[in-house]
Amino acid sequence: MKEKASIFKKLLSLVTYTNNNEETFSLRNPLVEDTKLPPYIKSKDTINENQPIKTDLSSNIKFIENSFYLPTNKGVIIRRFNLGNRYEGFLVYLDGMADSKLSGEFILKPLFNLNFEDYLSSEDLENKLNNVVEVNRITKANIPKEIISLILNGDTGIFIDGFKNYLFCETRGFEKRNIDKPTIEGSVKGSQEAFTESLLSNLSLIHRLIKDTDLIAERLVLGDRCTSNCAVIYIRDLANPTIVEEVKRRLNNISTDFILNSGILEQFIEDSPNSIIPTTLSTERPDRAVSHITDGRVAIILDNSPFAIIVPVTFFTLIRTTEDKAVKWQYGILLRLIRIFAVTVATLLPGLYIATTNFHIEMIPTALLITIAQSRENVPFPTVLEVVFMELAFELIREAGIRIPGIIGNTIGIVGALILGQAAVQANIISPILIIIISFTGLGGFSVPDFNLSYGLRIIRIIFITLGAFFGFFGISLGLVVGLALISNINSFGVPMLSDITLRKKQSSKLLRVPIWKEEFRPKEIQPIDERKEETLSRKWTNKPLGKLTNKYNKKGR
Amino acid sequence: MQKQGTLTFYESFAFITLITMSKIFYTSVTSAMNLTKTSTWFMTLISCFSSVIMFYICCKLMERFPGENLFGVFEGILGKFFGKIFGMFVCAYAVYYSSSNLLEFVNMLKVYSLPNTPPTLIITTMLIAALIIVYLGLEVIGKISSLLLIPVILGLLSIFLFAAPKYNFDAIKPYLGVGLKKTFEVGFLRSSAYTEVTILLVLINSIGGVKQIKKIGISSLILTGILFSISFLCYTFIFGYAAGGENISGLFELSTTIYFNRFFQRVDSILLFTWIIPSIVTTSAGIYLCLIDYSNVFKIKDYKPLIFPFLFIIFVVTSLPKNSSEVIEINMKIIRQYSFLPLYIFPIILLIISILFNKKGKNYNAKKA
Repeated sequence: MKEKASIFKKLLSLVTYTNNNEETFSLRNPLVEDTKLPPYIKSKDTINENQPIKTDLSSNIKFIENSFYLPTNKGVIIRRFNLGNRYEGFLVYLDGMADSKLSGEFILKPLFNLNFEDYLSSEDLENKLNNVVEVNRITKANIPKEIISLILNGDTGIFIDGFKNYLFCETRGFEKRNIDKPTIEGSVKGSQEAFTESLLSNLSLIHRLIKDTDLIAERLVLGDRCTSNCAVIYIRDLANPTIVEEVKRRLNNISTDFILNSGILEQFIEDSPNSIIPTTLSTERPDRAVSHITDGRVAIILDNSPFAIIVPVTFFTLIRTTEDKAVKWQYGILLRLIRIFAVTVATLLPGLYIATTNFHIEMIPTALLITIAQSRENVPFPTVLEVVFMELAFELIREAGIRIPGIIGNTIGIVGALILGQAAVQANIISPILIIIISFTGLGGFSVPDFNLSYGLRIIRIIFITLGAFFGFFGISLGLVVGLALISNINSFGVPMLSDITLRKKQSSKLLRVPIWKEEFRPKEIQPIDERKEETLSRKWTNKPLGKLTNKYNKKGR
Repeated sequence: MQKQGTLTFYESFAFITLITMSKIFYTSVTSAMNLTKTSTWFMTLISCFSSVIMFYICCKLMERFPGENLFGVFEGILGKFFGKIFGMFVCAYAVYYSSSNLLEFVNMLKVYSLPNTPPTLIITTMLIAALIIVYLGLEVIGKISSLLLIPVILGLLSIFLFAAPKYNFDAIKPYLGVGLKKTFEVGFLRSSAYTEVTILLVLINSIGGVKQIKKIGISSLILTGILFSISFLCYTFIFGYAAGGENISGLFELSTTIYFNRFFQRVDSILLFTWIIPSIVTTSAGIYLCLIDYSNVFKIKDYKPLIFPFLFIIFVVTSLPKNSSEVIEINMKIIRQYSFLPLYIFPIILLIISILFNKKGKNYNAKKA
């Protein structure tokens, strides 16, 4: 066997190239195999992360070096100094996260310009430094966990021999994206600003829109290994406290190494992970987030994520936009009806087409039936296969349009669809009517304002295609009833997803819009503390009838 | 017993209305037409009226046993042994009711929509759907009923409206049909067509007491009676009493007559949606009733592990009849004519016994005080 193997290797060597002098690399598990570990793999010296730090300089430098694996890690800078030849100390910051200009100009410079005539105790020196350093905010920290967290967040720490605390100066100065236009949730009459990756910028966007002292933005730290800051935003006297507490409870009880973005966070806190329909709303629009916060909902914003998560939501909250309220109520109703139609089309149209053409031909008017039959005359595939093929092609074009960079990405959708569709029809693989059906379905899918929901609808569409292909309208009816049953069983933070239409209570969040001056109440399904949004007579000026219009500046009148 | 969840007024009303009216889509219309000819439209109103009275009397029985459902009342009056036997009887009836309804539905679907699909496949699919709904529980059944009632009624009314151009209003002559005596007789017997309302007596604790179920039951009966009467009337306008007794599904045949122009015709397939939806809810309700009943009798805390065995039993019972005419025959006689005996008359007898022997529930005096 061994001989055979060696013959095989020799034969293989005739057609392949191997350099025998090269050492081949093989992956080893350092924890299992007895290998020499590099210094950065070795475990840290045990530090009690909740015990206060020592007061001597050398221990603290060792603590920083040990915590950040210096000198292997070049990211953390320790700048040692000696003030007035009396006080030895150091400055510590994370390169790139802290603004080095800020620390040089407003921390180091004032420190070196200090005159030390008398010897100061460490407490007095701490107080003096507090007044000398020219930054907005100084935080004291003496617990290792806090110190590490502040350094990682971009603050600059000052430590002087004998100090009980580190003085952390706010010097966060990393590069960030400017506030830009929304890319996913466009609007004609709404605001043209979108969230960015910076939590502070996002909070400022919300504060700018809600100038209310009752607006609370609580900060939480998520992640066990790599921490991410997160803000829970609500209006104190509007949001139901049980919802706020539940949000905080869920966030505080996530045990994972790292939460990269809001999409991952959503999955950690949602009620029904197996549900196809999302139970949280994700928005990149500050105005949309604000409209929900003022309704009594809670927004969660994660640092480094340009989306706000809104909870609790209902199914119909997912298909509403701020645009609906930015226009007159009649137009708002039209917009909402169109969106409901879009959801129906995106979910049911291909399934209904298959069911009609396969099982219920009698209901197609004769003229239309002839047209369909003629268009399918040379197509060798059954309708189901045609639909599946076109759905796949459509999904591929959509996915490619997102992945291909720059301007090509935008055009490939149109060009790809046109060329592929045209070619498929000419080659008699697909009937023209199916191109219309799939395009119509695609348009319906794009009209859904929630990205997660549109993903969910795509999966539901596949289920309806299958049901329609096997059982016709019977299958689709079954799917509708079971689907309704499943959705009505889902909750979003204790609020049933269909609560705005199941008539359990007299609801105020109407399926269709009412005039803005008649929207007296906040959505009752989320049970806000203050249900009333405006007075019954919100347009008080209508009390006083308009007088006779006169022009007293008219020349003749004078 | 496990917690069943709660139903609001509207949910319970929609639930009862939907399952009672589901038979309108089956053979009920034609078989009633065979019996009472042109007086069918008011015969059903007599059935409805007798149902209201009998249901009201049943509620009187429940008033004597506050906080107890129908099975609790049986045990309270007849003792544990006979109470359990009656519970088992109701359970068996619920299995039979679900199976015969399901089979009637499957046969109709085969005749009108899916002639080439094996019936076992349709039955299995229906049972899978019912499994999901029953597993989710009573609240979900209530919610879907409340969501689907209005579309189903609108679908039904639109059929009557669109068929209007072909109505022959003279077709209901002679107005008294087969005579008042026979009409009243059949009307009373066919109060069995409304016995679904007695489910309220089982679910009383989830709905909110006797007062509430009385309101829900009576209003639901009235609405269903009106809908039945309208459908009988419209059906008679189109087919008359002679041809009316020949069709399998009266309403489906009615929808096939709709013709406005070359584009708007043969919309009967759309009726499938309004027909299938109540059927699924009815099947699920029947299965749910079996499970709740069985769990009640044997004091089983969670009914969910029983779902699959019961579905299997229903599947077997559904597969038993040889042909659809046998199903229709049995269904018409047992369910639509004599089911009022165990479901209305028996509780009334129990009421008389409880009055004679002065039997009351534990909480009766406290409630009265």
